Amino acid sequence: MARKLYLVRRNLETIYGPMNFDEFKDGFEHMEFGLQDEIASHCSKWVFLENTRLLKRKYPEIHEYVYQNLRTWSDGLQNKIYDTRHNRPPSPKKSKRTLILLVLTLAALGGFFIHKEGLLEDLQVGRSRSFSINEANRLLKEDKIAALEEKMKVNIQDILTSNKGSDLYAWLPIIRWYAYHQDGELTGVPPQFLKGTVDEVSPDDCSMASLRDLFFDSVPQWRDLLIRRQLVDGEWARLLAWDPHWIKRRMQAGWVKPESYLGACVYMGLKVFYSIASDQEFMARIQSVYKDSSNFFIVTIRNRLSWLSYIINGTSKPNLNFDKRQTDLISIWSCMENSLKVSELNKCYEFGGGRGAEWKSYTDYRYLFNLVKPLMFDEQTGRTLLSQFDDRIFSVIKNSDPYTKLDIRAEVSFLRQYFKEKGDVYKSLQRVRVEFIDVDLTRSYQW
Amino acid sequence: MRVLMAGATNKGRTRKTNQDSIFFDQQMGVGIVADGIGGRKGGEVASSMAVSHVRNAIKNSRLIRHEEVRPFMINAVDNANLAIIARGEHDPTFAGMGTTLESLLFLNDRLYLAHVGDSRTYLYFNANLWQITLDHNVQNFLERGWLKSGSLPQDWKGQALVRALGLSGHCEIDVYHKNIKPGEIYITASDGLFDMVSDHEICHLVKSYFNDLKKIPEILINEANRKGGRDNITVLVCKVVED
Repeated sequence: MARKLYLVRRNLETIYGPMNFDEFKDGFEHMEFGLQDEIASHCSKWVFLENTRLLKRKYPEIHEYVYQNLRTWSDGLQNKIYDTRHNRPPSPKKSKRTLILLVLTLAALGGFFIHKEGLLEDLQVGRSRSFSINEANRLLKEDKIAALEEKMKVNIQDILTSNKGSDLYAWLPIIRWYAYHQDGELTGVPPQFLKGTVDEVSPDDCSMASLRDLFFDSVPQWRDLLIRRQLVDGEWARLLAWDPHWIKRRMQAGWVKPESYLGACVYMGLKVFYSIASDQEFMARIQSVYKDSSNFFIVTIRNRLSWLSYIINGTSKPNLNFDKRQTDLISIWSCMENSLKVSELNKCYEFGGGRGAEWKSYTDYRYLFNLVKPLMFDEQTGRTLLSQFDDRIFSVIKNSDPYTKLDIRAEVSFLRQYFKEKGDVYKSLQRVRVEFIDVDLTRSYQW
Repeated sequence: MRVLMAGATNKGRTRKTNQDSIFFDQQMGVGIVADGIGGRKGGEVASSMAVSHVRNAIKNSRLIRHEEVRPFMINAVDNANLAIIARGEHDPTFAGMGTTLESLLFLNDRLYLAHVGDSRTYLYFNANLWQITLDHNVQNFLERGWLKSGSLPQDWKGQALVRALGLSGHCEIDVYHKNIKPGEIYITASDGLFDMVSDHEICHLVKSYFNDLKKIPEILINEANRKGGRDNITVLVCKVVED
């Protein structure tokens, strides 16, 4: 009989393996997969790793390994408490009196630790000798950014090396916060770790250094996108084309601030353009291509990133005037995304006319995509629109953004429901929530 | 790496027509299986339309980059879905027709698999067999909490299809991807096979004919027929080999 082999399945999307037990352990330790994934062996049922009962029954060896870390660690910590407080290990032979004393001591210790802001909770989630995940979460929640940053600076290597499997998962949002609070890089941590398993529509590495190179290499193409209205083939251009509401509406596990990888990419891009003045090589390259109009290109891209980050991350609102006719392509996108009324959206659409079939077709698409918001908030005008549209709009707006490739099925579903329910926003939203549980179309910093 | 393919379809021993459709092209790295449902002619037309739409979409596409495959496949299947619905609306003979779909696309060292319905794709490797895809039926959706039993009619059946092309204007599909390696065989089949032949038996037969790929579809179909052949049977096998 061959060695037992396993497959791991994530989100009914990604299949890992076949792998043997050692390869599974290796992958689990390196967080290639985790508790939310499913596992199966030869001719056997798929079981979620987090389903402890079924996992223990079907795959006891996997259960033993996955849940051993927590057990071992919490036992170890209890021994450590004894070692440090009593300076000797507990003896197996205890008289009744000693036993009572021990129970009382334990109770006292328990009370002490509970009093110490829930340190006992750390027995269950996230270990680090000097800094707990609960403390990190508390600091972030209370917006004590400087204190958290200082703690992370001191403890980051310990957090990365002493936590494994589910412990490391617990730290992941804080680790990502720390990385993207700085420049999007951590020593010894591959970009893939920070990115996680989001769709492949985003750059693999969204550190400042990587995005700086992406924009640096694309300088001659900026004109094509911003002025000539060509949908340039490049990750930097697609990043600028991301719809911020699309990102904000999707909640991503493992993230806290920013709330998603795409949000982190936007934030890092913005930081690149805020620090561009001190990057002499970058500035020289822009000036060599665009001469006197260099500033226009820098400001336009920075404004776009600033707008995206405002909607997605809640950073400060850029000072953009959407009443004026927009001269560049990406300002027209921002204008459409800003529209809370159909009349505003129509005006942005008119600003963006002309310049070829590809551009026209994409503008039509963005117009329809951006209808979602006004239809939710401008019900009266929305109802009058019902008479003007028919099913043909769904040949323009399909399942994914034709340029950025973002999966827009939730928004399309809303539009379909909206027309089917004759403008009933509530019913349409309810239906989308049932179909797409990780999408909330009403999320935004804009209102 | 290269991918070798073989496939066959058979109407079984009790059905008068074959409503399954199959297409595969080794050069293109494409294999498609569909199992039609509804009406005497409807199922046949639906499965054939699904296969031809997806096949043409792939044939007419320019070079696809990895990050574009998922939206591309979603689009292709969605278009097939809308075409099937439109045909049903246009001609009452075909009203309510639908089909399952398994579409495999091998691109460099990766497999992309679009899946709708309860046809299946298995992976065979080193005497092990896994069902990769999740059947889109009531039982599975209840188990995962995607359906509530209270919302179902009294006479619901666990095997009833929840998703298929032609059922509604919005067709949700699963798109799997997996890095492939030599020695793997992907077996895609309609329910006429696995309702008759157990997974263990499929594994045993594939193992026995591992070195004779072209024989495997025929052997599996014969086994399904030997056990009753109560439905149409279609089998596609794709074997990954070293260059």
